[in-house]
Amino acid sequence: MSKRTMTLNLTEREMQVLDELCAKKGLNKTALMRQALRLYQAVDTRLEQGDKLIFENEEKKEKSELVVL
Amino acid sequence: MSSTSSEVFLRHGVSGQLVKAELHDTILQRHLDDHRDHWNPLIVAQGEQHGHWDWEKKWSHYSAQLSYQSFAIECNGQTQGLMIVNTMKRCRIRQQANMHLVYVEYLEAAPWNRRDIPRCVRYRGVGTVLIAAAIQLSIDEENHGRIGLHSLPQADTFYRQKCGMTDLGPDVLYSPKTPLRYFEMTKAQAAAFIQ
Repeated sequence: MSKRTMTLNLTEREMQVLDELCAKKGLNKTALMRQALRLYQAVDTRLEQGDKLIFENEEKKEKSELVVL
Repeated sequence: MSSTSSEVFLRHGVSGQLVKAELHDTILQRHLDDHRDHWNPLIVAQGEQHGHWDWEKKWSHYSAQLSYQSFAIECNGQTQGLMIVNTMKRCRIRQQANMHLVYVEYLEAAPWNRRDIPRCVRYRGVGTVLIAAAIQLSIDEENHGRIGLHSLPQADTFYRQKCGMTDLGPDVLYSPKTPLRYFEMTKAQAAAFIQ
């Protein structure tokens, strides 16, 4: 599949988080940003369908909804 | 939708000769038409386990989502295999837990290519080519060849023995009534498979 190139402007803090996540996940910046875009789209689609984004911790028996505006 | 294709090889079921085929990096309408017109009548007649897979419906749902990609193999002007993968799931094997992998949501070979059906197989290697495509996508995505899938019972041996994947056993969370086995491939297993 063909790809296109763009320039991304990030703050120093954002770049630091990006670097940390890349190191943690073993991904380069492009791969990580593509994963982030997929996740954003998937969450947005489900929210538009009326679904909620819930985080659950089985050990602590806790559930919390992530409110996405 | 347009696709790019690359040359792959299948093996003729009778002569054993290598046959040129095309691997497309997305499912096109003609592939769905082939499934409806040529695969489905045979699948329904045989009452197979995945006879209910409606690829047209599946792909119309998944194609808009960036996290899903699809592949199709064509040979001799006909669709020989279809696959949909999810690039957002994560690993379960302890040594690679929580790392990204390419998860095979659906993989199906044309009914005339299935070894578990007692009749002359037209082309061999469809499943192998599609698994190799999933591994290559995983490498392209910086996931080092890691892939995962839930297997239908008739395909367990293929994933365990031919693909060399780790069998993590029946997954009751995935399908409580008839748990399918979950298989995962590590970086080392992927390298061995590609060789």
